Amino acid sequence: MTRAAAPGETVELRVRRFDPTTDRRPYWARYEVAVRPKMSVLDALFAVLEQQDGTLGFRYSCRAAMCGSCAMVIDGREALACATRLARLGRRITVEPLRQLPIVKDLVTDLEPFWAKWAVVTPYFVGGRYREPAVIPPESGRREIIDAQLDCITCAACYSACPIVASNPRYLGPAALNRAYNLIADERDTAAAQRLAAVCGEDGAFSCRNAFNCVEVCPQGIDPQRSILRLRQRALVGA
Amino acid sequence: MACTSWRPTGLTPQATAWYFLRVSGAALVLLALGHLLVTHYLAAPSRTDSQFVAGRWANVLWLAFDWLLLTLALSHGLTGLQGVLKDYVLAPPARLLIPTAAAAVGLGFFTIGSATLLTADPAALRAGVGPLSGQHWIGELLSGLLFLVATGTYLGLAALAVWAVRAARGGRPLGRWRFAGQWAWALHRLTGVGIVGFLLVHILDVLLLPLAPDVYDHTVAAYAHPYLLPLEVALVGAVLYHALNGLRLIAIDLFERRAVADQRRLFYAVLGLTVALLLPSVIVLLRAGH
Repeated sequence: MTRAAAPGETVELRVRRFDPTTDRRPYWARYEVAVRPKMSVLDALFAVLEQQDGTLGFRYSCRAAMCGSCAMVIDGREALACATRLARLGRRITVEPLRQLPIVKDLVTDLEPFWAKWAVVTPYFVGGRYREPAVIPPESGRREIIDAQLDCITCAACYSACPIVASNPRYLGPAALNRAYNLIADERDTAAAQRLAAVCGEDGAFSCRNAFNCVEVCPQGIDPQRSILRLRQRALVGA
Repeated sequence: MACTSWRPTGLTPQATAWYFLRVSGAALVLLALGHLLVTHYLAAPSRTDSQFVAGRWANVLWLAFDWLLLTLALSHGLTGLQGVLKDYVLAPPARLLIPTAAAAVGLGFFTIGSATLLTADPAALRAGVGPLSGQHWIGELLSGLLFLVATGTYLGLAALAVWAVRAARGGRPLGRWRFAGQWAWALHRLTGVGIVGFLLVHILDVLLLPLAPDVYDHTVAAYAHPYLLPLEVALVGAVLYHALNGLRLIAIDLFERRAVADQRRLFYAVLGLTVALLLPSVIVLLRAGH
């Protein structure tokens, strides 16, 4: 990687563009962007949109790395555009939409397949056993197993980076399996048995091949791989 | 508050396959590496003729070793191959046929391999005659196939190198290929498929031992051709890598708390050990006149 551009200098932004309604295939568009201090990739995309090409499509919302809307592939690696500073990149930056998902336009993908997998694991808490509010005290050691994995923002970066999703679109993927484990490991939840059965069948936790790409790209530092390893343990012996 | 809402799902077909791959894989590390030690380190492959095999099969313990290796390698390989195929074959009719096809292939090759071992007659092997003796066209055919496989492998590797150079020169990002785990997964898959292919051919060429020991000797001697040397090295390297990375995968499953922290280092250790253990085998091959 070449040295990062300093404020006042320019970077070449190479954006993979595609409009399914007009284009036959994706193509690379190049833009020169003047770098400002602390500029993020999302800022650079806005600079293109406002000053050079008003047709460029991309998605964003919070601009604070909390919502996951601006996940895309930056220099070949899944990341949040709002949280990726140009200072960490070179002078020629490639930006692509997330992989394994249909393209709506340019950098905007249709997350429907991702959410369909999410729905398979009954992704919400099912209570009913304890009088509400059923609380696991924060200081309790019983929370340790799920606390670190709870902060998923459903950006789909892990789904995009997974080599198994790439070849097998039926595979549930890291995010859904991580969500399933969090709920199964939550001792207050009452739907864990059917959830475990749903994720341990065909194209579930046992189809993961331990490539660890999900861990490498997660912007929240979550370890979905560990959740999958634990799901397998639970399925086999209830460890 | 007690945790009571979940129950282990037990051995579903997917869990059974996963568990079997781990258990059989651990056993195969000993069996396959033991076999490799005998045929690629203590002797060169081109010297493992019918007399060499007769000497081994005179001992019932070696027969049992080879039968156990046949059984576990075939079942492990075809179970793994099913998993690989299910990642790519998604259409329902073909996908549903994968287990049946794997079982049929497994049963067929297990029968051939077991028959070869159980009917082995070291005295007949030493005499060098069998019902198909003198049918050298079979040997020529097998050698031709070996040269074809070697050519295909070399062309594939060359195409891969050209793709990598073009990608690097075109400034295309590495994408997932920047991650060690991606390489570990891809190499495990590639070596696994390659070893299964070799295993099936190997079961067939060993069938020549009782049928035509002289033809078998002719085929084995062809291994000494310099053109096949890289293929031999690739085969040994593939078995070594698959075995060592298999141990890495088992360690990841057993010690999941440290899995993320250590998986990358373990992968580099696997690569280093593979190269280190491969070198003596290359020396044996070169000394044998390959």
